[in-house]
Amino acid sequence: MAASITLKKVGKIIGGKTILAGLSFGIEKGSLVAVVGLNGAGKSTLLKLLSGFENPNYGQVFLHGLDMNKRRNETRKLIGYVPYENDLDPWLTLEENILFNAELFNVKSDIAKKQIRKYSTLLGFNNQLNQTAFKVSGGIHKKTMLVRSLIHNPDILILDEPTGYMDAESIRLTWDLIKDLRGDKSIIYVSNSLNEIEQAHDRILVFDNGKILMDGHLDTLLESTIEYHQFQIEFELLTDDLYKQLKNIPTVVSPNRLDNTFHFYGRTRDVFFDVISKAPNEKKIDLNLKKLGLRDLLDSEFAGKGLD
Amino acid sequence: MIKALIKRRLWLWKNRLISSISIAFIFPILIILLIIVPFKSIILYSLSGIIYESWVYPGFIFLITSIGIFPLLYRDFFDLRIHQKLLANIALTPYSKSTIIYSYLVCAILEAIFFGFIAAIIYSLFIPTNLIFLDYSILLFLVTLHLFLLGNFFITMCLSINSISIMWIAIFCSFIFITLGNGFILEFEFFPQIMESILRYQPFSFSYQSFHMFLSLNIVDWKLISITLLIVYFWILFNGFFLRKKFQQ
Repeated sequence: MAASITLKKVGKIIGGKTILAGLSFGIEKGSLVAVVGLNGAGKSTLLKLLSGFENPNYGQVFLHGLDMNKRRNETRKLIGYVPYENDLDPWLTLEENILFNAELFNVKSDIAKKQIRKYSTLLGFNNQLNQTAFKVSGGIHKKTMLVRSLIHNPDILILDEPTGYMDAESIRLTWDLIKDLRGDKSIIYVSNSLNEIEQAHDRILVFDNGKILMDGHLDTLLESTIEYHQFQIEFELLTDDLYKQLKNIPTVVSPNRLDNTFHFYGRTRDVFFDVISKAPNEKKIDLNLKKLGLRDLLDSEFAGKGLD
Repeated sequence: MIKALIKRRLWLWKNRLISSISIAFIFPILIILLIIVPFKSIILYSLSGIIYESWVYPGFIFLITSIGIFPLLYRDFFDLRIHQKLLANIALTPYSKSTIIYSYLVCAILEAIFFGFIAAIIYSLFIPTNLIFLDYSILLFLVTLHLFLLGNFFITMCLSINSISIMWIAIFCSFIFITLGNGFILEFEFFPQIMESILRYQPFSFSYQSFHMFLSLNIVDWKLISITLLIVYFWILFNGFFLRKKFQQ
């Protein structure tokens, strides 16, 4: 598939500190890409560079093959950007805020109004369009910014925490819309909600210290990086001696305890039986076996050193 | 872009109609009552022998428009900028930064001229004026030129300062300078000679001096106008560059 966004050795230094270090990757047209990482990993900076909000210190960003630095005006029309913080004009109504952007991008008023009705209905805030921006909640701000970013029908959507400040229903409606837009638009977003990312992505970029640590679909990442199962056994009484015995079982990986619960990982399900056989007479209260998810992947032990 | 900014400004006026209209009327009345009325009791005639209240009329229009241009520029380039609203979004639209600066100036000048128009009507209710259509046309042109220059100054000031307390001190100083340092209500000859020379050669007074030269001698001073135009042009480019630097773009 053709690349929608291409980064070539892009770097960003802020206050002498390297925020992004020589990033090179491409994003396919129509794909939904999630960016995750710890605070300060460089996720938001990456979005700012992609949106044209900031320039890289070195390297190049191409959108549809156009160099963002040299073809600013053309590339800006390709982008819809939703920042993390609310940047709406507080004294305009929500509709006026969006219409203002439509005017800036020379979208005809009647077309813009139709689009506003369509998207605001999908996102469930069409009855609040006439509210002044400072009077509505953070979730509504976020929805308004999302519609604003779509008003000029950009090919690329860049979203910083697209469901920030939203309630559960709003989150569902927003993801329904974003998933609907996938295929037609390339979407790259940052989110700290790992559950949401697990549900909505074609690809995940895991960031650490301004570099891409992992890149791929969650299933692929889990397969390639950690073929582990996660186990949890709650004993009636987990003594220190028993804990020492259990954690010294060679097949047990990354053991730890919380009160009477023994928590560990293993490459195969058989590890579970190894543990059970070491404590045949201890009373067990609860058992849990879980398939690993994104949170496990991002755990520093996983992302940094791996389980081994 | 200018159309978008004007529309937004109209929406803002509509959303804050009572306060906006009130200020448009109260402000010129305050200037008349608190500055012009007491001054005309002190300075009966200008140094060229014209009744003070007639002499001060163009200065009054310059003064009102000079202050009238400020709210829009302050709001967008300082208030909303330091609160990370709106301006950042505008900076992502497909326009050069100089175009953004120019468009803002045009929009702010139109608003200031609207303030000036209301002020002129109010003034003429209190004090009769004897300007003819040509005088008004030249006045409009020179006020616009003056506002382009002053607007650029306000934009630079708003972009340079990031602290509200410093901003307020800067605004206070600027307004004192605008009111008293441009010859709008006090002739330069009232100042000591060195001050007079400095004030006469500072570019913010060029347009006003040109207008008085036109009124008294019927001469359009193209030299002063050209210098002002040149400063305006380069200042717009500078502010565009400055805005770009502010956003690290």
